[in-house]
Amino acid sequence: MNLMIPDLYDFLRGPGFVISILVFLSGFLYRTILFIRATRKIRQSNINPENIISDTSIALQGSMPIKIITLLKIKIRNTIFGTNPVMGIISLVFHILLFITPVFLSAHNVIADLTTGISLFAFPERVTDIFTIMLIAIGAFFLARRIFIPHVRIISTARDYFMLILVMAPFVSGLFAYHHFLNYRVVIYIHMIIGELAIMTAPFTSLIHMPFIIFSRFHIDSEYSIMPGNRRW
Amino acid sequence: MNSSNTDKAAMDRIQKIIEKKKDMIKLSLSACVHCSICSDSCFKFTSNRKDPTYTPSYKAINSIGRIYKKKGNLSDEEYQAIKNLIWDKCVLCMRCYCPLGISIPSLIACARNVCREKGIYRTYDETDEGGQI
Repeated sequence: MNLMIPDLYDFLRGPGFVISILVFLSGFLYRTILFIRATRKIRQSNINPENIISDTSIALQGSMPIKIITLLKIKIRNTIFGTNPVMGIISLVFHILLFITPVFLSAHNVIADLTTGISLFAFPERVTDIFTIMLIAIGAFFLARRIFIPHVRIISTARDYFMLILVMAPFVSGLFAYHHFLNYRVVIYIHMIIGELAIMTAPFTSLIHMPFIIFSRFHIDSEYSIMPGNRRW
Repeated sequence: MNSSNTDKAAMDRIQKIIEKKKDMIKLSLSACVHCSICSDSCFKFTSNRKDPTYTPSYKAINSIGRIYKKKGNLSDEEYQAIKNLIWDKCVLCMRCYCPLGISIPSLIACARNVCREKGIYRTYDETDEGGQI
């Protein structure tokens, strides 16, 4: 039994992580194929571009800074940043932190360096500690929003609460492990198992929304595209 | 109240509609995180005292979501409830904004297609005897 625990640690640190990444990439590939099947290439229109009146061309007058502000206003007016800027900024910060905190964490990079000899830039531990606390606070805000706001509650299912727990658990357990709250060994195993489970299940659950946003904003031709896409639903 | 088609030909046509849009529906339903941010961009939602049943994602999930999950085999009452959602509570103005890029109008339009094949459609000045157009 004593031998089993170090074995499990080595497994989760090495092959377990590699398996989770492979499952993630396979799932991502499957979803990409599904996306290509669900969309069609847009047909070239025969309309003379000179005859198209764009509202941006009318509004873009004045000096360069005014033009940039006007363009930005037009681009975001009906988006989350236009209709609910507080929620937009909170969501953006949450997703950026969700990515940069584990990737640029010094402890993760030390393990990567010891295992493969490759490591990335790492934030100071104090900074990642603050990032983690911010993530947990925003996660609690999302949970409160889901419970107390009627139009969010009406479409919330057990799946949504479970996904929130699955996403937040690695950060809570990571914080506990770093500060040595509770039993370190138990906490670090929970952290590694749930973290790898979250990576593996991401393409098959609603966590697919993260790569989906790249498909929809860069490949679909719509009013809200960041770049003009060449596909349509 | 419309009478619904139950003949095999209508059901086959419904299956074809669902099959054609299967990938889009599947991808959209699984990518939706139920954030309800789309509600802010819906004028029907804001002008109806923020009634949660006007939330665009609620309308899509409870129309095409239900139809897709049950492969179109819903009861007449369920189809009537869907009719209320996709015609009375949505004008398909295409202004709903999903932060993830899910095309909610496409999903609702697909649900409308299925309902039309089922013989359920928008009625005006409806009385107990039926629609008076």
